[in-house]
Formats: sequence, C-alpha cells, structure tokens
Amino acid sequence: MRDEEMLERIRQGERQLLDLLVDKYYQDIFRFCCYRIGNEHAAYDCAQETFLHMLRSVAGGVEIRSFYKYLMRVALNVCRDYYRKNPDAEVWPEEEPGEDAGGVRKGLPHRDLDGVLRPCGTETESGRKIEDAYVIRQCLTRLPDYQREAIILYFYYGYKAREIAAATGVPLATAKSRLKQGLDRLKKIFREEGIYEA
Amino acid sequence: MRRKEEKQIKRILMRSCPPEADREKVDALKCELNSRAGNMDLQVCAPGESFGTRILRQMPYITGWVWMVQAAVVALLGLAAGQNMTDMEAGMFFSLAAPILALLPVVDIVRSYGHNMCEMEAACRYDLRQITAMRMCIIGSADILLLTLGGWLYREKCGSIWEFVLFVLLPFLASSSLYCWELYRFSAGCSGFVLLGTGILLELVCYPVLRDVYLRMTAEHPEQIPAAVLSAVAVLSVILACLAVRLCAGIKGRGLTRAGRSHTVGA
Repeated sequence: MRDEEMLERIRQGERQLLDLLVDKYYQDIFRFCCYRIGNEHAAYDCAQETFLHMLRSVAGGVEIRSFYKYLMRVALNVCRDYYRKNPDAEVWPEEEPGEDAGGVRKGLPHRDLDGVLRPCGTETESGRKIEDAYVIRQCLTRLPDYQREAIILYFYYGYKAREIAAATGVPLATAKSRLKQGLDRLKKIFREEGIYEA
Repeated sequence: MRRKEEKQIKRILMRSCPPEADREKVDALKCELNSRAGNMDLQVCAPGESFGTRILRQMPYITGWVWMVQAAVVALLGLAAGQNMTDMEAGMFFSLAAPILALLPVVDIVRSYGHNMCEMEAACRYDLRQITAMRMCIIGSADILLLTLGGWLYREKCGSIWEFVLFVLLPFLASSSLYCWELYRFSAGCSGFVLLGTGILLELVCYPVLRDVYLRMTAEHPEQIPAAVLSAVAVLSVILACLAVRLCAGIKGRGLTRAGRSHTVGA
C-alpha cells in the first residue's frame, strides 16, 4: 500500500495504520535526528515530535504528496527548533567515559597533547568500529548546522542537490555551495583527525 | 577527482552509524500517536478532492467587488448594445474595458500579498501556488465568458469579429501578461494601484496604436487582417500562459520568493 493511500485511510479512521508508518520510517527519522543533533536522547525526542507533527498535519487535512520527503523535512525543522531551544546542547553524551591511571579516558576516543582526537581503549574489531564511529560523529558536529544538514542528506540519504534545496528551503545554488563547502571542510577535519588521506 | 573524493568521504561517513532505535521507545510512540489520534477528528476534510471541488471551495474567498465589477462590465456591454455606435466608437468603448477586466484575476492575489494573508492561506490546507492558480482560473474563466458575450454582441451590432479581437482581446491578453510579469517581478511590492496605473497607461497607449494599425491594414492589406490578428492572439496567449505558470511556480509552497521572502514560515 502506498503511503499516501495509508494516510487517506488513517484520515478515514483506520488508526492502526499509524503503527505501520512508524515501523516503516521511525528508524530513518531517528537516525537523521541522531546525525543532525549528535545526541541520542534528544534524537528520540525529535523523532517523536516529528511523528506527532505529522499526525497534526494529517488531522488538519494538510495535503502530503511525498510522505517520506515530507517527514524528513519536518524532522529537519524539528531539529532546527531543538537547537533554537537548546543552543548549548551536549553532543553524544550517552557514553560515560572512565579514566585509566594516566588520566586517559577509557572506552572513548580522547585528544592527545597536540589536541588531535585519537581513538583509544579496546583492541577488538567491534571496539575499534565504535571508536571510529564516535570520531566521525564528532567531526560531523564540527560542521556548521546548514552544511551538516546538506552533508547528511547527501551522503546518508542519497539526496541530490535539487532535493536538498527543496528540503532545506533554499535556492539550488545555495544548496550546491553548502554541499561543496561542507565537503571541503569535512575533508579538512578528517585530515586533521588522521582518518582521510588524499 | 571530485567523485573519487566524494566516494572516499562517503566510505568514511558510512563507518559511523547511529544505534538502532530502542523498541520500547518505538512502542511508546505508537501508543502516544494512537491515543492522540483517538482524540482528534481525523475526517476534517477529504484531501483527495477533484479540481472542480477545489475551485468551488475557493469561490467564497474571492472578494465581492470582483463580481460587482464583472456585473458592471456586463451592464455596460448591454448598454453599449442598445446604442447606435459606429464601429470605431464601439471598438474604443470595448478596448477601454479590456485592461480593467484583465486586472481582476490578479487584484485579488495582490490583496492577499498586501495584507500578508498569504501566510495564513499557506498554513491552511492548500499551498499558496495552488490557491493563486485556482483564483486565476476562477476569475479568468468569468472574464473569458464576458469576452465571449462581448464578442457575440459586437458581431451582432457591428458585424466584424476581427475588430473585437484586435481592440479587446489583444489588449486583454497584453495587459494580463504585463500584470503577471509585474506580480512575478515585484511580488509583495506590487500593489493594486501599481496595476491600475499600468492598466490606464496601457489604455492610453494601446488604443491609438491599434487604431493606426487597423486603419493601415484595412487600407492596404485587408485580407491579411485575420491571419495577423490570430497570430498576435496566439503569441500573446503563449506568453500569458508562460508568465502565469512562472508566477505560480515561483511562489514557494509556504511563502513568496522575492519581496515576501521574510514572510516565509516553516513546515
């Protein structure tokens, strides 16, 4: 069943179809909020707010053409609102690091004496992956908001520049320049962190 | 080179994947949605309405004086039909009405811009470009009916439909195109008075020019009048259609593109 058809039936009273929509899109929206905000707990709140907003729109009779893109756009705006309300929000605080005898944090990457972020701790493959993921998320959060949005939509969600422009509500040229600048800056950050080689 | 870099960046970014969403949180959201949906009246309106229904739904939102002006034009046409006017007098009389008629479809849209109604309209069930297009369709259709009536009356009284097309339809199409362009170019900065001024200017300029063209053509190449007039109508119709589409497409779903950019609201 197409999403638009499902929305139509929800409007007509088949509320159990809301569960199907949540099952279908929750993971994507949650991930987007995670990438965008960089905080798992806040991402849950934003994902919830996104779906509640969707419900209000459905109840208000707002016409939704492409449901997935609509939902992503709502999520994007909800994340922006989150930043507006919490300008000093913490990024990825969910893992509590311990400290070894030398004062180096265990389980999470740390900055060395030169200020470079270094993966640390576990020797196992899965542990290394977690560390890599952490460093990459940290790198992403160092991008300005508008560039991060463009980078996330482009690389993780396969949006084209035109679609990014439509989702973020900016002209195509602006979306392209944000993408290019974001890419250049991200490359520079990755190089600083030692995870990108030209 | 750039593609290669992008691929490399993508490979790095893909190494970072946020955790899977907690099932409990997903279930809690489902409960919340269902309980809220239970308290909402979900059948506020049917979104899958036909175009005709949508047009009819827009009708009450068009200001009354638009219809009053249309009625006045009909009354004038009736009055003119009862008078003994020469061809030239009738042509002049009708040509004065054309830019005013053309003003009607856009003036209601200008009103919407002028009072920032667009924000409220955009927040409602249709987006602004649909509303604009629908209003143009409604009032434009009424104008076309009036023009057809006028054409028929002119033919009955004066005998030549080409004169009507030249003196009325062409100025109507030209002025409509100009209004659409002004609306697109200046957006919220374009008031009803600006459009009215443009209309009056067009009336002053158009009539002597068209009369001169008509007199020359009837004197020198009378057989070419229908072809020339038809070509001009076709060209102006295409221009008007393009400008109208451009105007509607240029309006963002939730706000204006140019002068009204500050009025945009989020999704």
